[in-house]
Amino acid sequence: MQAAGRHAYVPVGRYAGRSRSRLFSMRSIGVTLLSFAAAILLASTAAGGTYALLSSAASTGPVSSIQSGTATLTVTPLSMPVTALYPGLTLFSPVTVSNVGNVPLNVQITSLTAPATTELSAALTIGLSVTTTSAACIAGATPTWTGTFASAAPTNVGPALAVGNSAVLCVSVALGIAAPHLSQNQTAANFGLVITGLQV
Amino acid sequence: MNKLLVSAIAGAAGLTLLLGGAGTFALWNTSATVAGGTIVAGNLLVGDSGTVGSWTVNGTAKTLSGYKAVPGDILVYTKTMSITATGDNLVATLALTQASITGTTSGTADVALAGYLTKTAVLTATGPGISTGSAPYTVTAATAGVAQNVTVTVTITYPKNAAAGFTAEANTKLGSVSLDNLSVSLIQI
Repeated sequence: MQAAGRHAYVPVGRYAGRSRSRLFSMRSIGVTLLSFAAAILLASTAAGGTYALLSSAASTGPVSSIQSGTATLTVTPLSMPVTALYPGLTLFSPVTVSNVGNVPLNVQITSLTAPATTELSAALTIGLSVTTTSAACIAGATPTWTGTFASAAPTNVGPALAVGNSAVLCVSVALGIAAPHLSQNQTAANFGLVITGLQV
Repeated sequence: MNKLLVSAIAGAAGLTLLLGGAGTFALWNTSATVAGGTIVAGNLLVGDSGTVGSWTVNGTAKTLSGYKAVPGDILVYTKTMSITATGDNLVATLALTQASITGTTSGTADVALAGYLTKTAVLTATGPGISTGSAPYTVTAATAGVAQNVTVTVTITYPKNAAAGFTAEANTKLGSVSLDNLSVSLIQI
């Protein structure tokens, strides 16, 4: 019990009106709480380790690689007879087209590659058909497609070619009966047919 | 000296002598063993079921080795995995990590093929303790636990473009890709 007037504690400011014992009690509580917090923090960090939920994972295992194929068509060289053309004559020559890829193909005549333009080349009609044999082509086969070096519409020729199968394409070159006079004694060298295989 | 004091001193001395004479002394105590039970931990495991994965191409079973895929092909890979979940309060999420298709090499055709193929990977799981619907599933072990095979299905489609000579498709010829990073996971929640 303190003597009044001697070392008397007079709370001021925010603490005015509060008793000394009450103030110090709250202070003590605060200090204590801080101490607990510090202790908990130290304990948890000092303990080490991690916390994790149960988990498991597994690969489905090795999977084969996937490889893609290709679409490939081969054609044997075209060799036209050396017989001289005259108006009304048609020459025939067979080529063999083979499907050596991995997909069935529609065989299409896509375009003609023209030789140097002459009176003769302008008067030629190129034809194409599918025959069962080369002999049947040479003997003369009515073309199922025709075009000129000026105009050749892309068209499928014959049935689709299965993988590994081959077909005989009969190429015909005709000089029309109305060929111009100036087409005589001329050549139409190095012409070609562009054959395309399209996946069915 | 006070007689009482002398008596007390004598008594204390005597008691001291007695105590120092032999043996030990302790407060009364007793002990008994409390028989405890056995604690068993649960388990959460995904593993190979032991069944080899299989392939079909356009619905027909195929051995992929040596097979040449072409535009229009649909390749399906099927694999079963086993899941185990035990723990009275164990609840876990069952999910499938998405697979990636990568070129076998950095070659042009391989890279083009990897970018052109499309894939969907589906995890199918049914059985007691497994939620219904589609993945991800919730696996609830409860007291019975869950021991089940689940099925992983990966569908790979080789698109076929209607336009002949479509460049992106044409560039995929003779390419090679592999399917990576396909895994099943079980994670406690």
